[in-house]
Amino acid sequence: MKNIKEKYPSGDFAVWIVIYIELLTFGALFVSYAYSRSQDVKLFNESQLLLDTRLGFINTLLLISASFFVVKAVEYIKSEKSKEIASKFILGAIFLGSLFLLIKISEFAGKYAQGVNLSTNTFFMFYFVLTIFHFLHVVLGVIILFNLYKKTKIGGYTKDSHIGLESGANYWHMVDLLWIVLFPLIYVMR
Amino acid sequence: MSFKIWFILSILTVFAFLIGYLKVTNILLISLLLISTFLKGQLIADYFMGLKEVSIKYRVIPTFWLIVVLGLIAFFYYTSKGVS
Repeated sequence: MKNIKEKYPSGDFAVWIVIYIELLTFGALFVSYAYSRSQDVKLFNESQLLLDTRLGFINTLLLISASFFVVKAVEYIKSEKSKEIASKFILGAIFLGSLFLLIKISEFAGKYAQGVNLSTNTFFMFYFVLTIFHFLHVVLGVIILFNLYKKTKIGGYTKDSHIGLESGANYWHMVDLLWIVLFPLIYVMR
Repeated sequence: MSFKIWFILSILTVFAFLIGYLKVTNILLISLLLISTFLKGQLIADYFMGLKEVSIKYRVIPTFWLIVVLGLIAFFYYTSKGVS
């Protein structure tokens, strides 16, 4: 029956330990940012004007859409539909994740060209620490997705054996979840 | 179902973008922004990570994380309004 709940979350439990630790780490950084902002609102608001909200918005849509593609890939494998289509969904997620990285690189390069860096002020210290830390997680996420893609394409996952796929998918959703909080915090709230 | 979740997440993201793009500082809209961020996080945990279908003790971990983190962000935001 569909409404009977599973005892444990999908995927390898070790990945969930990693996810919980990452949530704690980023959570501490988010709260530190909010506290620091409360001590110097004027500096944070003025510095935030140098960020391009449109790029943050596009990147949010890219991550949300990549997560959707990953969900579809898992659905296709679990319901024994086409593995070929499942692999294409993962490929789509890789493409969107890579676009996210390219946009972030252009954003970092733009800031560097403006002479803005980690030591410019407290706002940009947090901006670079949070976004570069998150960027590295997206890089790892794309590498994981690429490995999932290769295995899915050769039929390595089946309806009864797909724990690796779900573990990788959950890691990717965590990267998405973190950005969901990071975007309004850094780019929007003022 | 996953398409509906993606659509809701996208609409809420457009709402967040508009607040940022228009440089809104209205306290009610910022409160709505934080609530919508909570909803987005919960939707990702429940439907994309699949926690809606598992034991409540695992489901509440990201919920608790969202409440604590967004709650503290809200606390520091509201208590700092007078500084600017």
